[in-house]
Amino acid sequence: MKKILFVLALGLTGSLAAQARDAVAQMTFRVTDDFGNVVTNAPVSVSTFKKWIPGDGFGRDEHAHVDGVTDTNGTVTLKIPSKTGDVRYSVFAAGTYFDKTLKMKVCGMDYYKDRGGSVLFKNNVDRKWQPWNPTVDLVVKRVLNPVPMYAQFLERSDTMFSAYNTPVGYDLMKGDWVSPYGKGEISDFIFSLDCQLGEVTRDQIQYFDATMHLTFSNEGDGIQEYEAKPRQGSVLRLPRFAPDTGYKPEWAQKAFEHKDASNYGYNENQNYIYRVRTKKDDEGCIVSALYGKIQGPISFSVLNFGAKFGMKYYLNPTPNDRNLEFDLKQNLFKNLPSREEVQEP
Amino acid sequence: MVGKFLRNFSKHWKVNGRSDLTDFFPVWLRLESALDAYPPGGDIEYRLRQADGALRFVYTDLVATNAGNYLITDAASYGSSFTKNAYEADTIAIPDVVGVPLSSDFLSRIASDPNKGVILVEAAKPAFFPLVLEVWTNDVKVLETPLRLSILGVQNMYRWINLRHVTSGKEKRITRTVSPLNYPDNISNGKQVVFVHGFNVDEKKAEAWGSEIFKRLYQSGSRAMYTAVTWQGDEDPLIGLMPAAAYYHLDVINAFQVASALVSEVTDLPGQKYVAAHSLGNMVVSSAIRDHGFNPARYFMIDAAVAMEAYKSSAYEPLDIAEPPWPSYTNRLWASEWYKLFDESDGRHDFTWRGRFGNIPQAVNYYSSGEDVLKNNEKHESMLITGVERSWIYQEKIKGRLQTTILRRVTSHGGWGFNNDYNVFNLITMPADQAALITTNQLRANSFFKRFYEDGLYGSDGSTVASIPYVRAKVLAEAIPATSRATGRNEVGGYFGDNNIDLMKKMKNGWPLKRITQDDPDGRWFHSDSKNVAYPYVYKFFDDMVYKLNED
Repeated sequence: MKKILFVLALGLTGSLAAQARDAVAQMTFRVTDDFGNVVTNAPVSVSTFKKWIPGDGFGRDEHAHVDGVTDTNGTVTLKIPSKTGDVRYSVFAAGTYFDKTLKMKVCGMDYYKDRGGSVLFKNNVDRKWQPWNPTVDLVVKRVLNPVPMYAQFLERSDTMFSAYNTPVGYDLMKGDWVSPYGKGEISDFIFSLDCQLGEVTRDQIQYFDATMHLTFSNEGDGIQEYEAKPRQGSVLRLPRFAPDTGYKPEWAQKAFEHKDASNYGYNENQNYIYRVRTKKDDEGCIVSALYGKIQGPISFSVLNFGAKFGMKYYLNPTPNDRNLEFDLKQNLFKNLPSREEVQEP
Repeated sequence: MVGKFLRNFSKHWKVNGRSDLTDFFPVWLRLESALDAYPPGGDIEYRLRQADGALRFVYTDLVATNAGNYLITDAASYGSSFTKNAYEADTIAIPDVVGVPLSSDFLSRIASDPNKGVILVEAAKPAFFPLVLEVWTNDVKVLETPLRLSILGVQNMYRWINLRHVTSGKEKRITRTVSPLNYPDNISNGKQVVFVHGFNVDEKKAEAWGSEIFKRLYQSGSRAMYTAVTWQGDEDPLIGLMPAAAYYHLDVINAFQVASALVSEVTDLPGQKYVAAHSLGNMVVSSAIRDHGFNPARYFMIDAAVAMEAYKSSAYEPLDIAEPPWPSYTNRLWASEWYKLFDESDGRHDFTWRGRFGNIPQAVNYYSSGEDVLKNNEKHESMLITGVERSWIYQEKIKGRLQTTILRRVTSHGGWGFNNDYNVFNLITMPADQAALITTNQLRANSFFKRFYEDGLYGSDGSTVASIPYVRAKVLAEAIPATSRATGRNEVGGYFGDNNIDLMKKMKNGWPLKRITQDDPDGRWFHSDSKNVAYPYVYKFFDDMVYKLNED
């Protein structure tokens, strides 16, 4: 018991002393919009872990935060004492969030919510976290022109892929596989699963080596990858407009599940922008096409009864409109099951 | 009139926020014919009364076909003025003798649309007399229609299994598995949902968890029987001197200890069994399934505080957990790999989390990419200070280290500690290049990591000792670090069919503004938010469980 009381006493003393001696982090933030314009009077906040409060379950954390506002150059410098060196930051317009908290107001204008980011400072010198005063660029995105789209968080276990190496079309406007696997009519995406099956274990685990191929129906259709972290920055994660070049006509991803190792080939930072239903004139110029995005990775795995397949896609149905800003209130898919609804613009 | 049962008792004169809404039930006053015969106005009055004087109600503009909308959508059409949201509307007492007249505004809405006439009712105390609708003209009652009621505390609507005694814990409310007084089995759909709470939940809080999960499932349409289970996942050997949350490892041992008792109790319950478990409750249920033959039709894993490798042995992220300097040592020396030194017939081969529970085909993994407790340690940080964030990782990191030596009844062995027997000159931990030369036979007889608490594990009877369930549980809980991330934070890739569901991405319906803060601008779905956040924000999760309950 003595040992424990001693340690507790030491812990309390240490905690009080630590509060007085926490190293300070200083950072300068430069806020712009996605057109590169400086955003003045943007509220920027930094926060860090302050203390743990015992309670139900695992208890709760208390955080300290320091707020500031950008100047006419769109910059603000903030300082915060931090025990851990783990500092979060964001453009945080307290009290202005609306529409299920996805938007905020800054100086009277509507912006998409900023999820911010974090820095982990690992070293401190003379009670200053290093590097001292790094500059961090924050990009906030205006709510400009959200449009209706077909948007679906598709995640299904389908038996159709048990017909391995057989191309299976997906109709993005119907939200379904193309006949005979579903009610779709146009093969916007054509998936094919090249798969070698291993044993099925006693626990019904299917070992496999597989490659998912994606091809398209029309010349000019294609896909390109865009990296963006899902829990950082604007909730409008991808660019506002699809590019007009850079689309690749094929895409492939490998995955395997072995006894002692597995790899599914995708990560959560992957996103895609695609073009489908492309029509060209006699000179090979595009006269019509539909643009869309896939937010997050295309995922698949092989089960003992088929394959699991997932992607969260958006399709702008207006020909040649490269706008990728989705109006959450105008999903052209009606009556989606709640688990297939998308919750980001 | 159509009504249903009731729950917690109110002491408020208005709806007390969104969390209060699940305590109301809708009643449709179907007055089309009555209004034809007795048009309101003049001397004609419609009144509600209830002899216990226990009820209060809220006016709504809802129609019968969307009467449940008060739980899931905001609309400024509630209360006496029909201008408030449901969560802030005024409530009106229903007196015992004279009753309360219904407002002319409410009645005229029914006259224009016969599907209207929905009120929300709650109770301030137990009630057994019917809710009565009366029509009076010239002080003469001309019509009366009753809605029979039985209103008691919500605990009277479900069964209760108390397993705290199994690990020598004290019990206040003992097991009671007879048909519940206020929700008898014969009005259920014949299915039985069993709920097991998680870590650091005392008996009183277990009732709160059990009641809240029951209410939410019920409001999402479940008509299954329901049983709440409590177990001793809140060990506190110093009775408050240290936070109970410090004793996680003891609670893991208890989880294994209590699993067979859970199976014994649940087997005798009526109905087709479904089980839901939160956090460390999943250790109890997974062990019940894997070790003791429990075979539920479905298993809802909620925020499972169990390493992924327990279900999927190839899950491997050791650098999330390994504490320096261990990453520089060959992993052949790690406690997590010691089991490989023994063949499958040896009890010590089971000293691993890998495949501990195996694939559970009927499981649904409700995880959250917004987790705090189970958050991944993707930057591979060494954690000297921790709060709630990554506390599951933290408890894996302190196995065998100094932190566990100060906790009463917790043993510091295995894990990320070093065995001083291998020290150079009895002082310095053997360097990695030199340690790599230690033979397999040496490691079997004397581990490079801090020796297990039980010397017998290194001897000729080691296999036998390792096969003792308590020893196995204690070694796993205290001495064998996971080398993978938490199931409740991640998709168990490739397993469970399409039954990995990210609560954060798929089940939020907006989020409380007070939870959109500087340190959490995203409004993350935290570890216990399925219970802590008001039902309107999380109802999709309960709808999903009920959908799966009903699809079999």
